[in-house]
Amino acid sequence: MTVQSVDLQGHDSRSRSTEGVPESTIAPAVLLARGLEVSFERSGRRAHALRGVDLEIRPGEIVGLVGESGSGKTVLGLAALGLLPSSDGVRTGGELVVDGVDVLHATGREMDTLRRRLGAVFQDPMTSLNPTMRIGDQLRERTGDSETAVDLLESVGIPDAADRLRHFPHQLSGGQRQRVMIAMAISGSPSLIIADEPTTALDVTVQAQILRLLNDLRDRIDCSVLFITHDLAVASEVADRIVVAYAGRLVEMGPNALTEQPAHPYTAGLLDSRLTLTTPTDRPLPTIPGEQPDPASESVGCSFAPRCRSRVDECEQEPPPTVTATHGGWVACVRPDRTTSQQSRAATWTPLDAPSGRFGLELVDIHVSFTTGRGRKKRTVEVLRGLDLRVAPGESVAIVGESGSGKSTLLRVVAGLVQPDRGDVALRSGARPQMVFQDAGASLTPWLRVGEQVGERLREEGLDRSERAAKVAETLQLVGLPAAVTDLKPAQLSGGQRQRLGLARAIVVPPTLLLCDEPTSALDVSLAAVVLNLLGEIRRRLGMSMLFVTHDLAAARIVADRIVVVKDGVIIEELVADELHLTQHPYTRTLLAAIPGTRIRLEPRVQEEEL
Amino acid sequence: MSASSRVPVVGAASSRASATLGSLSLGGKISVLMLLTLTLVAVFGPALAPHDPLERVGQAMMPPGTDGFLFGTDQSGRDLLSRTLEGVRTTWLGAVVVLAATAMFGALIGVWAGSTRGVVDSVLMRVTDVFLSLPAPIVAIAVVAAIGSSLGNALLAIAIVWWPWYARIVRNEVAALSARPHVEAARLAGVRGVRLRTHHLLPGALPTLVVAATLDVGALILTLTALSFLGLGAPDPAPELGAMIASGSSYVLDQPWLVLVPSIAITFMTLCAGMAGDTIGGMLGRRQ
Repeated sequence: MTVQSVDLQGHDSRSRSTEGVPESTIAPAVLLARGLEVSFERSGRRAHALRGVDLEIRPGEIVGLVGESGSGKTVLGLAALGLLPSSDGVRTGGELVVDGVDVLHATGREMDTLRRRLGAVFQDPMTSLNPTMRIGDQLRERTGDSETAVDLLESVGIPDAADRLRHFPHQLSGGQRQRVMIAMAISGSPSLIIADEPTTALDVTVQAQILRLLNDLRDRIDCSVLFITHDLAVASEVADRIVVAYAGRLVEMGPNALTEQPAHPYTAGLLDSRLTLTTPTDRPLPTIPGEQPDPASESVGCSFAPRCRSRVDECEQEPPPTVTATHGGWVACVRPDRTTSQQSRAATWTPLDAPSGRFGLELVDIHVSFTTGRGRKKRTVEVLRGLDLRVAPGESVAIVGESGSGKSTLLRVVAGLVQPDRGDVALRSGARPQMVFQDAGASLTPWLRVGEQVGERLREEGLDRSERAAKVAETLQLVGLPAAVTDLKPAQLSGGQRQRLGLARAIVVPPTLLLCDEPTSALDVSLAAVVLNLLGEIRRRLGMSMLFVTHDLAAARIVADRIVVVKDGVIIEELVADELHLTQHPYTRTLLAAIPGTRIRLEPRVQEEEL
Repeated sequence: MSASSRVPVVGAASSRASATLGSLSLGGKISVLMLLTLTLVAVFGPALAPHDPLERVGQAMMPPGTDGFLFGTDQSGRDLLSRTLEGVRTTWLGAVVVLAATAMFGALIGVWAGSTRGVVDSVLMRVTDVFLSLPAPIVAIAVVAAIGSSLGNALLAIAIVWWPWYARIVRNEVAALSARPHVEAARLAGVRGVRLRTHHLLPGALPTLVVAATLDVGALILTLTALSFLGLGAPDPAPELGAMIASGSSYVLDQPWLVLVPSIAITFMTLCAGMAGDTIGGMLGRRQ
């Protein structure tokens, strides 16, 4: 068996020539931004997405642009492609030159020819591929003939490429669709590929393959890549150089190794809140306090200052200067020497009592299947195939699996939203489980005010209006929401506030069992840590059992006492959370190896073919 | 980018309304102005009318402008302006009443069917289909034949064939909403019965219903005047636009204003309704 490894050292040596603030005499940059500004009209106010960005991408270079939602990273990618929405009162300033074309002032025709020399890969390939056209037809639109199309598919690692040409996008797996997108992106021999969160929607194992593919491609076709992601570890897996964006500005730039010695407090904070397999589980996770500034606000000083633990007085008085950082790049910070780990010395959790009593939840031989189509097209998919699970009162169990493993269906069976074909669900008497959803925004009724939604479960408790209001206020405080949100509607809250609200509704009457359906997977790294801390705190305070579904082993390790790994509708391994690293099961080991930033050698390629 | 799409806290309702008005296109502003005029006429019609619309006040068939009769007089010497104002008033109010009643009844049936599904859904929707297949004029003739011709009966006849559209629209919207996570979340939170329907389902179907209903006003006005033209509305002396066109049509070559004045009034009303419907639809669409 050949073992492949991601060669991190190779990137470092490569990036050495371009690190630091590059002189523009080496070779013409593929992308050059100077003081780039982009703002939109939002509800009558001007929201600044980019507030003066300088960026240079050299030929053959992979630049990782890292930022959380609201940092402006996606807007930069769209601007480079000339795809800023023409409505929304867009205003641009500064300079943006992509492959010799002044994008901000180019005519429609110039942009059309430029876009043919660019490649784009987005998060959701399903929205970029035409669902009514065969893969082959879509590729031939670009290549002109089938042979080149087959070559392209083979070059992105799709087996039986010639057969795949006849398939429609929905017949491919998520990873294969993303490979097809990449094949299309490289079909015009692009000088620059803009990849916006191309692996975010994928399982970790597939993500690792796609990252490796991008690396291979850069070496083979010698194009540059602007790799946009919210995850520093993912960026450090592929990028030669990493730039960190915060609130529309770039705050730090450096070689791939900046993840080891971050110079900006924000970068340090992001790295701290990232979950790894060595994060201590006996205390709350380190977090970045506060929230991102309002995009409509104007600030004189450093935008990060209000949240910075290393803040000094100068921070808020003037824009931070750009200085050389120890990793060889630069950082926009008044006192980068003060940047240390942003981790506050958090007190440890009070240890939980060992789970006692009979059971909180018991599942026996659960079978669930879904039927699609009718008549001859009828297909039955077995989602859960005889699953047993027991959760003790007060115990927290994480269900870990990749998409399609049946983990979410399991949760819905417990919630009573799906009836099992066979098997028993036994809950502690009188207990109705509550659920925290992955997409908190979608789980809230858009037109109902916060107070009313949270208070709904209190109606059957027989409380009158003022008692309900008091209880709602108390619960909002418990999840860290200001009392002022009571009269707002969900759309007026930020993503993090909505997730807190979802939690508040679930615990306003404390359930004996709390179900969590990937509540952090759609959140930014810094926010995910906040929500996980909150779950830990609430669980300790209210003493309930928890069933936490996730695809992220690192998160499972944090929240759970016990980890259950699910694959193809059956439990393949059960572990004590603290002993996760001791697992001997090959599948669990594959999942562990695929976590970005773990720097563990990847599993053999044979494995990837079957996924 | 969730943070940038976040809506800032909305202030007082009035400032929000004025902001919405200000953001309207020129066509939108004109339609609001026309709607305002029409509503004023509908409410203050009788006060604005210079004469009694039922009384003979001058010579028969005087052309517009003679003796201070702005729109002239009809074949019985009644003031055409007063009769048109009164006609616009009854037609407009009648249309609004029918619309409100049918939309409410349709919403009731639609929410019931869409949220209950199963047999109840099938039965309600088949009943709806039966009503949907009835032609409005024939139902009107049947109703009038059974209980006599009057404006109220004509409105009743239209209402009978009008509500199924709204029941269908609301039912489909509610059925789609039922599968959304927020309804699942509400069910898990123990919300059921009437409250689930009125608080978590119906409000989501309202925008579509309102747009459909406002776009229907024009069609409703045309149906109403058509029934009155056929003599199925209030009997003769009553100032109804359709009936006025019918009785004036014998003189259309020599005294065209007898037909033109009520016709223009109908055109104005349907145009106004159509534009207002587009504006409201656009506003609701933007808000979503």
